[in-house]
Amino acid sequence: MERVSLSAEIREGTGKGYASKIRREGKVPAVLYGKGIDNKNLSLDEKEVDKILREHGMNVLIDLDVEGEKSIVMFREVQRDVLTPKILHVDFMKISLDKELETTVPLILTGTPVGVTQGGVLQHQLREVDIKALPEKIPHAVEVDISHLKTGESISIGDILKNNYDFEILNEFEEIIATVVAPKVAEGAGEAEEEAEGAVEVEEEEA
Amino acid sequence: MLMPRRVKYRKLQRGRMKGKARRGNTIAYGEYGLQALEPSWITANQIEAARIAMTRHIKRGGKVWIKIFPDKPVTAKPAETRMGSGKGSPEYWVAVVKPGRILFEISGVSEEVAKRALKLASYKLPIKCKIVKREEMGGEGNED
Repeated sequence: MERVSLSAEIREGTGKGYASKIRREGKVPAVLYGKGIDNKNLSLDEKEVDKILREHGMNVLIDLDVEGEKSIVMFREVQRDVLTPKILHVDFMKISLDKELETTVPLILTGTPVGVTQGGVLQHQLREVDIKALPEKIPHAVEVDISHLKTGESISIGDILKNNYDFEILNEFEEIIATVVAPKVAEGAGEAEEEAEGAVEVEEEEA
Repeated sequence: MLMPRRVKYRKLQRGRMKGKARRGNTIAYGEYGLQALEPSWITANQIEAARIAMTRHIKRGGKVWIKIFPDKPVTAKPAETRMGSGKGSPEYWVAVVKPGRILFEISGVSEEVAKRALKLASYKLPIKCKIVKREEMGGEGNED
């Protein structure tokens, strides 16, 4: 796992007024917590945090320097603005390198399934997996090869457990990662014209 | 047209649309989404028009998710009626949308087709929208 360094300052003020003020100055309010330490309110440089997140993602070990006091931390939560990519707040958790921890890592599909080349539609259901590992063994992402999938076939967590990873996957064995389905005829489209065309599946979700 | 099967109360007060969407603001199922940039009521007709525009453009393959549901009844009084004598009768259904809400999602088609389909859908809506991609959304969180 990659390791980066980041410096932070102790933040004296709290509350939304103070937080907006430091955000205007290009800083991000943050908090550091963990076992055996008192919570610390911090402020960080937004550009530095953004760069780390873009280059390394969430699962990165950070040597956090808080006014001379160093500790190894990981991102626990990053809050972003709904409409802009602006970072609003960051949570850091102090970790110990010899203790396993649970986290989520992205699940990336590689290869084009046989079924898709024959006209099927790939449905990617599970995009993140929960894993348990030592901090230095946490992968950037879990890659799953799906090139062998034919139409109607799916791949589940149980299938990828055959690969010997040096971390434990916590998801249920039966959980489906991806399926290749035949293009369905839309049902209840309401219009004859739609039904004639209808190859697009539409799903509604109650607000 | 989308509408609830059964409601507890036939008529509702209008309410306000302050703030940004706190839920439904991330891409949950598809690869691309259409995000609202303004608050508005989206009627069932507009949702249906947008859905038709998208599915016609995609033609074959692909999957569309409608992430909003018109669960709010809007009442109206008949034309040339004097004021008074109570609230009008329910006329149509709307979904209350706040900025940041993902309205539709698409997957299983190329980027070009998905973006064009969402653009066509946005023309059917009364608000400004933006097309968002799953990777660009951020939304990091190590907690459940």
